[in-house]
Order: sequence, then structure tokens, then C-alpha cells
Amino acid sequence: MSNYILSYTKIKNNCLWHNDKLVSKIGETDNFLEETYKSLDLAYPKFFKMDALSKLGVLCAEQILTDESIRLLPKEKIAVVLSNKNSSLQTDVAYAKTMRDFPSPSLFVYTLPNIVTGEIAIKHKITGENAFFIEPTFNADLLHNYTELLLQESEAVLCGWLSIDEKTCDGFLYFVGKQTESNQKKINFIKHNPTNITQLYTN
Amino acid sequence: MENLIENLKKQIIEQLNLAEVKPYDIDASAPLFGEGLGLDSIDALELIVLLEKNYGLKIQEPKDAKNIFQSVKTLAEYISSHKK
Repeated sequence: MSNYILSYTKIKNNCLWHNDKLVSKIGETDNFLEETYKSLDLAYPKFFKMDALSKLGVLCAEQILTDESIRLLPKEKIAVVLSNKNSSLQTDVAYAKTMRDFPSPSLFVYTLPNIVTGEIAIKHKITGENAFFIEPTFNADLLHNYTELLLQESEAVLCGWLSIDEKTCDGFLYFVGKQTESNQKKINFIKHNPTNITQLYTN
Repeated sequence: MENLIENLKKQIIEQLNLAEVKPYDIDASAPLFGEGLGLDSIDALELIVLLEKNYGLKIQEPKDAKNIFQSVKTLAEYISSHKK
């Protein structure tokens, strides 16, 4: 059975897109992630305690995982596979600075890149497999191959690229699953292959 | 004591990134953990940092922490009685 990209979100240039539809656009600000959170009316106070990488992941995942046809999938059968270039470097540097006087416990807990997978899983009660890959650039082949392997046991996989530094914020998450009765009415099913993944990321 | 409690509320909000909480939202007698503000174990560590950074106080006996961090009021009482 073929697997399909059922939904995708992008955060870039102060805009949040879901399936090519503009969800939120924030003007020039130093607090883009927080302003986007407020614009979405999420009511999840824990958001403010997260590091920037986790905030980016939670905002991207929210659009996908709250979709009705996806929300009803068994949570133990959903996997999460993410990637980026800089790991948790921004938070690592911020934590290192606090070590000069009082090391911050709340920063320390975010000094691993895969914490964002945990934050997404906690918010949406996902208990399937998870992985986080560090790659020099967005690697559609790696994500595709690993996701196809996971789909032998899982029903769906949340995949993507979450990259953040002081200047840029680049989030792209997509949800791969099977065509079912509950989602077959959705239009624009995109076949899961590296070419389509790359096209969605770069467009 | 009232001033200390009000300052503590502001410091807790800042230290724990409670961005959507205002000082007047915090009941000084309400539990800090479990209910009330619903703080977690990482927040407890941040409160220990707050005590040391802002008031130069270290909790010598870990078993005392539960009572000290019961509420903003108990925290203020501890600071008031131990600050040099």
C-alpha cells in the first residue's frame, strides 16, 4: 500500500503556513514564536518555558496534529522523526552562559535536540517511535527511507526539519500516513517520495 | 512581609517564565506545586536558584524544602527568618 503526505506546515520568514494556506503572519519582531503562539490562541502555558527549538516544533506540529482525521489515529501508532543542522546549539550556548554564575536548570533540560520530539509527544499524547537526526542540510532521502521503515509497524509518522538560530527560523513538518476511509475525502494527497518532500520544503 | 511577598511573586514569574501569569493571579497561601501554580520538579530547582541568587540563601536540609516551598507565604517566611 502506498504512503501519502497527508498534511504539512512551514514556518519561514515570520509566516506560518499549513497545506499552502497562510495561517499566521507576524511583522518584524524579536519574539516571532511567542507572537505566533498568541495569534493561534493555543492556551498551553508550558510553551513559554520551552526553548526556541521546542517552540518552533510545537507550533508546526499543532496545525497537523489537531486536524480531525489525524487526531483520531491511535497515538501509540504515530512516530516522530525530526532533523536539523545545529542540534540544540542555541540553547547549549545560552546554558553555557548561565554557568558563569547560576547554571539554569530550565535551560539545561533543553540541551538536547530530541527534547522537541518529547514536547510534541507530550502535548499530543503520542507514544510511538521517535528519532532526531543531525544532518548538514535538509535530507529528504534519509527522512523518506527511515519513515518507510517505521511505517511497517506504525500507522503514521510526523517528519521534518526544525532549524533555528539567532537570525533564522526554518520549520517544516509533514505527516505521512496511509489512505483510509476517514481521510480519503481530503484532497491533494501527495505521494510520499523524496522528490515530493524536497519540493514541499523548497517551495 | 507584604513587600517581600509581592517581590517574590514578580521574581517567581520572571525566573520560571510564567508569561501568562500576573502577580495578582498568585494566591500567596495557595500551594505552589500540584495545584495552584502547578509547578514541576524543574521549577523547584529554579526556585532554589532564585533563593541563592536573590537572597544568598541555600537550603541546608533537603527535607526542609517541601515545607519552605509550600507557598509564596512560606517561602517569604523562610527568607525573612534566615536572611542575614
